[in-house]
Amino acid sequence: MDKIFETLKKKDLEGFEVYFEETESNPIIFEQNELQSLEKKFDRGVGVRVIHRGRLGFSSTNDLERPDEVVEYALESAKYGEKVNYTFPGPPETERLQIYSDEGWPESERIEIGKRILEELKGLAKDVKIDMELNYSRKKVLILNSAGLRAKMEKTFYSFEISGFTITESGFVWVYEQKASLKPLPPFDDLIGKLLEKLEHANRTARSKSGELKVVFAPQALFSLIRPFAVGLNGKNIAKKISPLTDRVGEKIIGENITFIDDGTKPWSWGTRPFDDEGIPVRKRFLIEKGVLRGYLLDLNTSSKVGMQSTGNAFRKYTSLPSPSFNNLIIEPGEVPSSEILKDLDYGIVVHSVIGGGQSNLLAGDFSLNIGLGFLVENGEIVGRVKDTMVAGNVYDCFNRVYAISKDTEALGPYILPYIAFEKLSVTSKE
Amino acid sequence: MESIIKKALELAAVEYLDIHLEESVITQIVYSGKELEKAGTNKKKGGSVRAFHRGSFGFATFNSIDELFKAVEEAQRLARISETKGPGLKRVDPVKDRVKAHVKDNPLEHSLEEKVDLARRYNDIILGAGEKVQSSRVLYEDRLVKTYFYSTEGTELEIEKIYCGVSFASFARDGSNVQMAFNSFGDQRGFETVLNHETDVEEVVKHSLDLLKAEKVEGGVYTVVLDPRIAGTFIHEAFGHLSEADHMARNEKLKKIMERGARFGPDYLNVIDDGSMVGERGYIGYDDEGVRARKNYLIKDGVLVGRLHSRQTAELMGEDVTGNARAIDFSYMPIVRMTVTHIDRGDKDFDELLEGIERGLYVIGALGGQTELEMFTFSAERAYKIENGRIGEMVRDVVLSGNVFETLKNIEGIGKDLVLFGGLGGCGKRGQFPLPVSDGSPHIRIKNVVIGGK
Repeated sequence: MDKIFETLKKKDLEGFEVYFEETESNPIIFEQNELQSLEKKFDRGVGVRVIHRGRLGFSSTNDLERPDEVVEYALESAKYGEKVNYTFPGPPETERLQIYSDEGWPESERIEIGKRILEELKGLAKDVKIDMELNYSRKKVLILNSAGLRAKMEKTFYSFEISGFTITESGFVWVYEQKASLKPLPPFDDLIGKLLEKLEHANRTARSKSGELKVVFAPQALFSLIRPFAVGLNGKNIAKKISPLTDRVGEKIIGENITFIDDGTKPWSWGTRPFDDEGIPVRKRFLIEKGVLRGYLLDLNTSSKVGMQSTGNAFRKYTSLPSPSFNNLIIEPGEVPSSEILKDLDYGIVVHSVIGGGQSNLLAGDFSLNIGLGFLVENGEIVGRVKDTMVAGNVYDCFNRVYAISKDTEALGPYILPYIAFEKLSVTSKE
Repeated sequence: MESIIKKALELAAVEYLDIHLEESVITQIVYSGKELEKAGTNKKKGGSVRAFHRGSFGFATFNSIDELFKAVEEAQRLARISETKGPGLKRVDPVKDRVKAHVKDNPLEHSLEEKVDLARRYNDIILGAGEKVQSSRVLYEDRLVKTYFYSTEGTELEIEKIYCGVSFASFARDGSNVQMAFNSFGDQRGFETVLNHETDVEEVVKHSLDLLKAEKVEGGVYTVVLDPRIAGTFIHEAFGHLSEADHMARNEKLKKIMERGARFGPDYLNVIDDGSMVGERGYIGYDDEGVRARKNYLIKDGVLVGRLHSRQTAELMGEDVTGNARAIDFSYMPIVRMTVTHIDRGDKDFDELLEGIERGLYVIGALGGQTELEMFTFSAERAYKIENGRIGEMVRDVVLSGNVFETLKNIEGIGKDLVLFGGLGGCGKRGQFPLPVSDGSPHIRIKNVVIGGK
């Protein structure tokens, strides 16, 4: 690391940066009700960016014994690289954030938890095949640059994922729950209850009408409707002027009951970090406030192209150049519990998972989703599972027709999402 | 290096242990609009040790060969923690082999400058196509992967692969209407794969511009004719994933549904996965457990005849290995995956496939696909209406969904024109993405396909 830094200092460069990353993870994996594997994964490497004669060069390696080689590759790459209009930042002024808890999660404890859950489910859901992953991992990042920045961060990650697969009269059923945090997880027995509830509802099939229906997206499914916004807000697409949100800051783009916040400071949340992967401090800020576009997701490169400041949204691995993304995306919750939203539904579908997210014209905001797990609701009661049914629309249109947002939210990694109920979405069912 | 590996293997005191070392060199060039976003070379090396004991695996990865001995200890410790007493791994005969890359014209012998020029040439065609073309994306990639695989059973493999490919996308914009078209070429044949695509690039530009004028497809149930590319995506999603034995090895209900002899499609439907097709992007030669790749029929004459196995799933189900345990790189455990998956040739001409369709769609190009094994979705770049057997105007936003137990049986005809596609992307499963695979098919016709939309 320091060898690479010293080698770079001797070259005649306008700027340079060394990004060092070390990750260690220790997943325990259960597959189809059996302990399948225990893993210990370790990876360490550096990415080097140089600015030479106004152009950017980049290379990466995990062979830290050969500092000259990665510098040579980066310099060669700079012969052809993009013309750069930014400089690397100096030391960031950051606050102390809650992102590190090295209490750990012993392997034996995790195996115990996994076995206990399997035992519990054996009685309650006989034919369900369970996959689980219980993971504890750590990540270290160190960024050094020619402007004197020497930013260091260490994060811990604790996560639990469980999915159940069963074959019932309604066909193949998949149910999924997860919990993730930067500190040890609180007991997650509630997830098992949620899993069982979905399995129970999936026992019966129901046929939905085709046409314009009320559709409620649960957090896990809502993620697919967020993807077009992730693409539309991404500085790369703003710089290329292919995002429909280009030049529209300050304009109302969706319904005024919708607020998107990017908060990279939320204690113990998956995406929380004091500075981004270029050393820019991370903040809490509005992306969409009451339907009005407030800003984009920018890193150094994209911000320089659109004439703005970096928003601290650079993400990368040591093997890649930075690219903008959400830190933690929070959709502001509403007033009513999700259970009320369902109780008030006269006729409609509640969607828990979809197949085919991200395959439509995301730039345009389009979605066309096959409902993986979704239920027909009539007069506030779940009638049964809908199958071979698609729901389609455009997010810049349907987010104007949100009639309810739940108070309860679910944190899916860095996405903190409520239930959202839409009026009049296009549903096509095979009748 | 061989002597170090052999010494490390001597430390093994579990049922089975293998060592996987890997070095890769990747050159990537990315044009994004006018800008050359990236042009350069990255290197990665490292290894992993996989130990198997009483039914479960211990797996440890490392960056430097100095850490090999420690990893051997760690993998064994992890494998022994579990007290499961599951079945073992399917017995295979040890192999010793050295496989060189099969490229004619080695991309690594071409300069970065030459590759940048090539990408720029394609990019200039897109950007020079008029003001409605808002942006472009051209990607060139070559990748050398050298692996060494040694096991306690005596398998010793040294395998070299060279992938090379190019992809190009054109973004057309008219007001708030933004449309994208793309194409890609990638395999293990060498540098010639990326040359002479000027006409293909021009077509991509044309399609993106045509899409600006196309109407959104009307949602409903259609008879569709799929072109070879999207038919390949279809069979990958619709049946390939369901054939992966890890889903069923411990699931009695699914095993029953997937019994050999079960009918899944018409007599003339044949589905094959074949990792021994030299030169294709999904070619492997040997899988990541050192099992030789072979041609595996999944469906023969409409009837299920086989599936894809790792050594573990083969043992669990009492069947033969197929050579389908794969990992995206050394830092992942091999899992059951596809290689070159395709529908075999049928006997219909293209015109015959269109015959008698009153209201249908001719669907072209694949943007992606996803499956939950029974229901699946795949999406097209574009489609044309078929009215009374004739191809009409273009429509866009065509996302198709199906159900494995119905859709394969709804195949009404298979063409003669089999084409395989590799490209630069790959398949994703259990967090391992992208795995180089190929898929393909002749043109096929299917009835009763649900398409989302207004």
